[in-house]
Amino acid sequence: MSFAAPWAWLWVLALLPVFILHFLRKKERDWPVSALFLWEGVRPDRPRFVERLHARFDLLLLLQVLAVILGALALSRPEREIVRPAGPTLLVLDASASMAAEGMREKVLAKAKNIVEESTGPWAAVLWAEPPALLFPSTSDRELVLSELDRYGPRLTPRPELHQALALLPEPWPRVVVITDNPKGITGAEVVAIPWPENVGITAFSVRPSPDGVRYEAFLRVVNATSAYKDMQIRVISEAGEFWASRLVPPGEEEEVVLVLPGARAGAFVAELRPTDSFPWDNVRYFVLEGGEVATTWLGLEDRYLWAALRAGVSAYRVSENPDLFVAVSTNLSSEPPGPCLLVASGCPEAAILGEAEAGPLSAAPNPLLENLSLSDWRIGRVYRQEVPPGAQVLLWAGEIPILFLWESSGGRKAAFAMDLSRTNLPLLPDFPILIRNLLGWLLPQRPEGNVIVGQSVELPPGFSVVTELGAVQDLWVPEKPGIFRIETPRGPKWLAVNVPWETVGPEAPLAAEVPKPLPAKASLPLWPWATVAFFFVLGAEALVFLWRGG
Amino acid sequence: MGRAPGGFADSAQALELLSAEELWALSRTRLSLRRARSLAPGEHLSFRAGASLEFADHRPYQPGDDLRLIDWAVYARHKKLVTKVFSREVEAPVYLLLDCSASMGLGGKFLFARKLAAALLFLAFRSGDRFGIYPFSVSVVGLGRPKRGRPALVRAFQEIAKLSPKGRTDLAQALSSWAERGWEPGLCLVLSDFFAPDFREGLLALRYGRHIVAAVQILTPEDLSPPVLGEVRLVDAEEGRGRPAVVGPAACRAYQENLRRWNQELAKTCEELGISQFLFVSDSSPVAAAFILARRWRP
Repeated sequence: MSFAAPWAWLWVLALLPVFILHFLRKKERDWPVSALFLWEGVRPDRPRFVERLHARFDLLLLLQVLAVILGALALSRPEREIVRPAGPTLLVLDASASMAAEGMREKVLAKAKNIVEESTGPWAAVLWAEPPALLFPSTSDRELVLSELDRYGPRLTPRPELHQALALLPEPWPRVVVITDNPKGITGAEVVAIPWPENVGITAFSVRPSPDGVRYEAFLRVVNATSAYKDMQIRVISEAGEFWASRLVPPGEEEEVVLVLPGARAGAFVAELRPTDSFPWDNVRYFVLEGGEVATTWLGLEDRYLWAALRAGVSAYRVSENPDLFVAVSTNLSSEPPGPCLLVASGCPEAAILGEAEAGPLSAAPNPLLENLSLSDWRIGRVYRQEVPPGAQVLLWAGEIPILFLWESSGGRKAAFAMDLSRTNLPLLPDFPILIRNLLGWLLPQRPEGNVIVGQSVELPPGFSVVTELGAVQDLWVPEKPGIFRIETPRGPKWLAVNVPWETVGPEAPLAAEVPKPLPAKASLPLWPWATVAFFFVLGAEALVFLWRGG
Repeated sequence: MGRAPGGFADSAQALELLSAEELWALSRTRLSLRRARSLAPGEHLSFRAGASLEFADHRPYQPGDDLRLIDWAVYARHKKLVTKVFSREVEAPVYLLLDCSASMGLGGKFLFARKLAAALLFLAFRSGDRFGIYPFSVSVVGLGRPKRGRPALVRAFQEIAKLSPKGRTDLAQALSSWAERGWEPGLCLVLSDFFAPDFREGLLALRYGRHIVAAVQILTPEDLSPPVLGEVRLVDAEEGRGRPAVVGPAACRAYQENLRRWNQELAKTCEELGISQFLFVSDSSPVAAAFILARRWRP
């Protein structure tokens, strides 16, 4: 129905002559009296509302106006949306980590089967999780659909954007039903919200060495997404033992917990929450500190500024053998270090120091490693003339002398500073740790991260392998469940922590007010034939009344 | 029930004025007149002494009196000669002045007045009196002298049947002009709604003519108690002019108060002039009204 229908408005104009004719015809009733002079001076009564209405009421006018309105209504071709059994239906089943709570699968299946029973089909279903998957393609076999739905099972991964899941079935579906526990942000689809059970969980967990380097500290955040106070027992397990803490968390609140772990060493840490609830994946969290540290072997002179910059960029610690990184300061190396190496005022067989020279004006090559640096603030006194290996990439010049260059050799990546840091203001500038962090990112590109989430692909460098229940995995590994995993490296075993991301768990139940209301399958029922019939009926009634009144 | 007396029932019924039963009922009553000014002998007993059979009084004998009138029974008892005096039977012409203005056409007033006039004429006929019907609006239409007898009654009925209400009322002019004709004093009945401002002059003119007058006011139920009409245009039946009005309960009460004052003025005038006043409602029986007039009017 549209009120922009021009014929309808033209028809409404018929009201004008109807009213004109009515008022031309309508006159006061004449009432003859024997003596008008007896009515002189009689104040007119104010008729009561009902009497006035009765006096002004004209059934003919009412019927005429009604006929005109019905005619205009018919010309505007009104339609009414009615609910009818849905036809083709695409089921989008939320299979993200939050749906792994106990009882959620049964609820989803009950809703999905109910939708299938109440619709005529065909149906298709996709799993809405990372990565999205097709549960079953379009089919009209109801029994097959009901059996295929039983294959639904939530994963421990987050869910992507809805359109990515819908892209699995690109043909248009008139009805898309999303069954989820978190309907926020879903548009253009019918949403069946599954209430999420009450939950307590660890929302964050990390471990870091204390500033004095003698112990470790565990940082946790626990949430109480229930309607009651919860006495939460937190246990952190490390190689050195167990550490306990307790918090009484109000309902709906989140609290931070800091645990001092005396005697602990870098490695794997597990945080557990007691009591557990129906969603166990956030009651335990894993953290690996070892994977994030850089074992460093220091060669040459000590330089506390450089060490501080390294510590600011990564968790570096000193080792004497099997390091991740060599750092050489003001020395000449007789052989090439067997790994990534940062040379500061140091020479090696591939890049020998040739002598000293006055520094010219600084110039830089466009390179991402120099982003966010202010070279104009740098003050450099003397620099070294150093041999630049073939294939090296020069990042900085002092005049015509390369003072920062990178190259790759068989032993690993190398970076060389051809200047004495003590004769520059660089250690005092904020640029210095930034530059060191950037250089370390280039020197140690293939270090596997120590903490990943379920579903996140882990690229394993050559010689690395992860030990799973199904055996050793190399090159690329996608963890499917949380836990602490052992990674075999050429320099010994390391640990990898896999967690279910807290964001996908859904720390709070969706608000009822934000739940989009289900969009039932609708069809348009044309009403204009009824309006037309009513129009002619009223017209006939008007004619009968006219004739009954005597024409 | 027998045949209507007078032998003119067919005419009355044909003219739809009176039925046979009404004529039969009317034939058993009569209009009586006590103070007739007429000298012609008739059937009305007069206070004047006369030669009727109706004993009136005694008076002392006077020389020359008819000896047959001496009451010898009194002489035997009191030794005094007294003479018996008898009432005198006189004639009373009946004049019916019928208002034929347009206002009489509302609510059946004119139909009532016509039947009442016919009944009164019949009573006059039965009394042996002369009678005449004088329709008027602005002026009196017929000015024929009153007559007695059946042919006169039939003609009067025919004349009544032909009347129709129209025009406006001018009681003063119509009655004054009629009275100036110098009619013989008689019973003069004015049948009207008396919705004319100058009714006093007209009635006074009749009294100057030494007539015994009865003002018979005929009103409709709507005249007495108008309905709640709402928003209407009130139109004067005689003058045709109108005025919009909202007739509700309060307006009706105000109108009734005006009517009450008007009739009070009429009654006061009638009392001052020695005129009997009667009020009839048009939805009542005209014959019953004639009976009421015959019984209660004691001129």
